[in-house]
Amino acid sequence: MGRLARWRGAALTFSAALIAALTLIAVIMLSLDKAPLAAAQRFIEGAIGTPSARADVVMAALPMLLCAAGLLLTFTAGLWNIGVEGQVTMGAIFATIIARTIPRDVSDWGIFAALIVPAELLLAMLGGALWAGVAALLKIRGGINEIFGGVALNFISVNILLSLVNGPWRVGTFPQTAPFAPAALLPRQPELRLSPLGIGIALAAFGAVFMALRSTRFGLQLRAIGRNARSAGILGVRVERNIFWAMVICGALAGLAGAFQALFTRGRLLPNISGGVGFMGVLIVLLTGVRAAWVLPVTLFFAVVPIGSLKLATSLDSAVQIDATLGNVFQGALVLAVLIGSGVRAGLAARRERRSEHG
Amino acid sequence: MLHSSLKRAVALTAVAALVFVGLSAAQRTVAQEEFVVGYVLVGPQNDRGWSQAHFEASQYVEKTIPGVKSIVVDKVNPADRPNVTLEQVVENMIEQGARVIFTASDEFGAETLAVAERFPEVVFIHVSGSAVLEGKAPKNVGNVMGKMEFMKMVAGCAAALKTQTNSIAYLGPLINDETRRLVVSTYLGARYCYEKYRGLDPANLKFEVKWIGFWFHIPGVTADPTAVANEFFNGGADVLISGIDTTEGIVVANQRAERGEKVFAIPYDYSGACEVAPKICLGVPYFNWGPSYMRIVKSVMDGTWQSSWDWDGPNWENVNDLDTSAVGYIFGDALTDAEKETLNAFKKGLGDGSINLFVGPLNYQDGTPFLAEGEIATDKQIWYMPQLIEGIIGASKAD
Repeated sequence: MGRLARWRGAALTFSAALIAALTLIAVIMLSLDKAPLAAAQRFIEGAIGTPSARADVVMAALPMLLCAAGLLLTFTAGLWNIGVEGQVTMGAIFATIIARTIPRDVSDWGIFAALIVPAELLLAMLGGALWAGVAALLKIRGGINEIFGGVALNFISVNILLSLVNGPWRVGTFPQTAPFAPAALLPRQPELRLSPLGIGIALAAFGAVFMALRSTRFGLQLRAIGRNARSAGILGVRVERNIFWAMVICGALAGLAGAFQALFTRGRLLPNISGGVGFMGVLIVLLTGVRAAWVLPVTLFFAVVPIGSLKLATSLDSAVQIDATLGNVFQGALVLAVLIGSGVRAGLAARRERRSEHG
Repeated sequence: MLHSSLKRAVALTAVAALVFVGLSAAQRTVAQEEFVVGYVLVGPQNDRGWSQAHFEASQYVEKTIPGVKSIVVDKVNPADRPNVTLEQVVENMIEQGARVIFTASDEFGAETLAVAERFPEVVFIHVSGSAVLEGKAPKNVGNVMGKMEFMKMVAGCAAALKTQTNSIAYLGPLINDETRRLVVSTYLGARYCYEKYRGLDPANLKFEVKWIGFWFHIPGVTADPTAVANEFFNGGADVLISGIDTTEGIVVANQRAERGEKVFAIPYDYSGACEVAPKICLGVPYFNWGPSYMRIVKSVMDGTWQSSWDWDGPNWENVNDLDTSAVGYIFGDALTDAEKETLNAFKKGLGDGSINLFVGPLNYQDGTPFLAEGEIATDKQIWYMPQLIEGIIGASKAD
């Protein structure tokens, strides 16, 4: 099949899946006596109609984009880095190591004040990379599948987080740290919840991954490993080393996403700090079929969902006031529909091929 | 090839048309020109507890003041809405025209103050907080709370009248000033009634609190209230008093009663909470936010509102008058008529001041004096309860 035909096929699958997911949501809403079309209008208007909503969408997309970028590397090499959630969590924890010690007033810090955020981000990347490195070593040296290692490490990271915010880092009655000082946060614009620095970092990271996959030896080797690791090894690709680095880079990017959650979204460390952005990244990469070019629009699309859902929940019109969890149902249904669609398409293609061989 | 893509196109168009027709049929118009009030709830609006009590109040305000429209957003907490902050919710409400916003959880305190600075023309009421009292609130922030202490005393009294194992359990949320003073009030009520009405020595009454760590169960983060409740009953308690936002306490008590155990429960927060298991319910101390909210919304509407810290009490004539009383106690089916009569006498004493339980001598849990002989606690001493008091088993501080 030609490149164009393949692209058209993917687009068709996606639109069909979108229609299926929308239909499902519409049916649910009609059964609840809500008005789906009015809701859709308010959803879209709400999510992209005002500068503040657009800023929220962009900022919600950044951590997902970072995770998805990292996961493009691992999925290309055929690795299911489910541990990405734990890597996000560790990133948030490592960023907090510095962030919680920064005082409210840093006016006499001079040049060092400008180094706070970079230091936090670097430490967060280190934290995520360490956690991914453990999963990679477990796979390479211990022969433990990265999915199982990742699940275990996710569990451990959550417990480290909880013991910190319940114990030494806790401030006040709730299991959370105090709000970080302004100097410790990602700089944001005064009026909008928007961080140009954050956008720059995330886009740069995504761009780098995109280029690495497209036109570097590293990207080529990852693809070779993803197709068939053993053959790649026989042909001289250093499989273990490439796997290790794919995991570690993914972990660093996930750690960065964790830092965004702690230093921007929440402004403090608290339980569930990752907010599921790692798993969102997995969904996004699955949804795009590990195609880097599609990741950006799909991530934005995913980021619209929580913001738009909130608009529905805060609506005055009871006919569109729906529980925001319906947004999650929509996302889940969409991913499922796309996966089913791709499966069906692959099945049809295989049958066509067989038929043409026989005929 | 042409044939199949034609079929595909027709099918897609048909589906799209069907969806469109279905959607348009249900479309409605949006009305404007109303006085909009926003309510931010921490738990689900149908939790039969803390959050539902606020939801009911929003409906009450809508019903009693013409032209008021509510926006209620529930489950605003990091577990249920991981990527939504209070600031975003509030912004959305203001975008919809909200002029008064109630943030109905202790947890929203700091964020309410921060966001109020950004929207000085909107009135924010932080429920259960005391930033106004401490002079830390901007002038567009008010605080409101109900004097639940009295109804918790009644709850403690009911438990003391009922217990046969002389062991009362309190299922606590997290530890702070508010939850400490409620546990202390419950204990004082229990001790008083155990001694005065049952003629027993309060030294033999076991009163234990266990804290789950948050207002409601968050799997993996808090202790599981179901497990804690079972532990209590396994340990010999026969009355479980809940202090958490949700209904696990009465649910567990009911399960055990169905297995033949003689146990009872007192839920919390919401007037309908006994309905979960009426037969084993000794009643429910509940918040009735409606009158307070109506007063606040009305005063904002007519321009007379001013920042204040309101600690609204019961209407002692009838604590269950939903139009006037900020807190109430509804008797449960498990109370006998004699017990109800005793409780009414106790309530009457609390109301006319002949019974005051916050009177010395009382010691804090570590033995240091709280109130000297005959000393009566001030509102502030009760509000900022720094420790549990002597006689209560359980932690005074989070470790």
